[in-house]
Amino acid sequence: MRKNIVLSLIASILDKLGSVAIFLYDSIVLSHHSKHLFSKIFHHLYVIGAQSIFVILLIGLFTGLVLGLQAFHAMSLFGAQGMLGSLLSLTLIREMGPVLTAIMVAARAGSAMTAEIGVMRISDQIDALEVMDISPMAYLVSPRIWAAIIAFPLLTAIFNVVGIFGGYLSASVLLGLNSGRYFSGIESSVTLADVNGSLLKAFVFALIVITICCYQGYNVHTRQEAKGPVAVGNATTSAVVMSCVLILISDYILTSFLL
Amino acid sequence: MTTKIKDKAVLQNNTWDIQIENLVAGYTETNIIKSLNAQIPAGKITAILGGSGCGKTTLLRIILGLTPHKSGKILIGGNDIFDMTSKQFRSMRRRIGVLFQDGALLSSLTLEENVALPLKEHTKLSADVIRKTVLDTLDLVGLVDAADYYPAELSGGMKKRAGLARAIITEPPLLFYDEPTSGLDPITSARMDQLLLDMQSYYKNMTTVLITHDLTSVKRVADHALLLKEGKARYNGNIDGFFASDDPYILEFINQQSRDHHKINIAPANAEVRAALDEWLKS
Repeated sequence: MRKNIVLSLIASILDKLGSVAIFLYDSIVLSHHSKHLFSKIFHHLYVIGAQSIFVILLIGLFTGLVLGLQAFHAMSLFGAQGMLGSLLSLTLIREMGPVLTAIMVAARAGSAMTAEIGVMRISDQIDALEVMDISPMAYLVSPRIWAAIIAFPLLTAIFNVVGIFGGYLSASVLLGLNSGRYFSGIESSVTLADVNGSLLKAFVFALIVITICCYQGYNVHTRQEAKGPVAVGNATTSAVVMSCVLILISDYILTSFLL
Repeated sequence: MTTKIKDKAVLQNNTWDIQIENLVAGYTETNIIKSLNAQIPAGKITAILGGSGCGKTTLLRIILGLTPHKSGKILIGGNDIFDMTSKQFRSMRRRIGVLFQDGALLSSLTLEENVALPLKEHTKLSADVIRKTVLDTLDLVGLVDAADYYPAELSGGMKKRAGLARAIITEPPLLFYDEPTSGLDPITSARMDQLLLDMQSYYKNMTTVLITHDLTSVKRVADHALLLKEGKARYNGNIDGFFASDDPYILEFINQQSRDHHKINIAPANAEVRAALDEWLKS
């Protein structure tokens, strides 16, 4: 009995992941159906990228500040403050930069995306697109995916730089660590592979976040537990939660390959 | 609202009739449409009538390929839409205009952008030509002054007229209106009907299908009627025959509908509810 429940749960998760993968595949394959694709990508680049910069700067700065503070005090116990630059930059570039950027964009732009597409679904706007022979996937989803693929790595890079600057403010300006030691630690420990890994993670997270958020909005009418505006609300919550969970799971998998 | 209609015979094709044969459809195991047989003639205005849940909108969604059917045939211009390849179906659907119940305008676009959308997405026309065509079409439905408004800033009637402008901008030979007068006041309703008649005379030979509950509107505009009852056609013929019919259900439908327009049914609150309401009102 219990075995059956577990098996059906696994089957349902695999079924869902399969649907999401097909959704992603369709959105990429149907890109060429989207007229004026570049102008749509630029529009969504603005929504996903430019409009998220402020929050990324803020989160990046405070993450760096807190990391600098904590690491300085922890490393003082061993007299290893000189390693702070290495520790902080590697933590930010390898893990915190891509993960926190993706989570913040999922919460800010992803949730809005789910709600917008969900409302379009329940108010017949997606049906209207289909009737006008405009592929809703090509019109609504493809430009968002391409825009995210460009925006996420850029936002991650900004987060990393600002985070490192936050660490410098905290450790050097506030706590008195020699700035030369801080930056030389970064220079000696960060390699191109770390930066590439960070950008690769950002790329994968972009696909995960935008696919999940668009999928939840696009299929809001198929939800069983509620219909209409309540379903849109539930879909938005699911989109953010699923994005965050999948970001962390895929981060573990990617890290285990990258290390 | 004044509509500037010129006599322009843009459509010469007479083959946009719809033939429905033994159609069965439903969202679950229960069928909403049960072996429906009906004919919608080309070049006329046909009203699809029936009580709530009788399958009117489901029928429209099946014709548009938005909802699957279980069995049967729908022939448009003699071609079974279920036998068509995806490409053929899309090609056929390009010739269909639809006014959805609430207009279904894209909320992130202005009225002008909404109406321009089919031309922008499907043609290589210059921005100037598209803009002129859009403004002409908006003028046709009396909305040229609202071109820069977003759908959220429009009234229900304006949204329906804007949806109509978007539906007709590609000059489709087959046009569907889903409840065009629902939720509108009688004056706006009458204007909408007039607009529908103007469209019919402007686009000669256009086949128009009207899904409605509004018998006043049906009397004003329809040439042909299809009355659905429990997923089957109870009446399918010309409009005069519909209103002259002595079929008990049709009589009940016509009379009940006209009674409903005037009947006010206030359920008296029971004592417990009344007491609770009084207490709330006194607080």
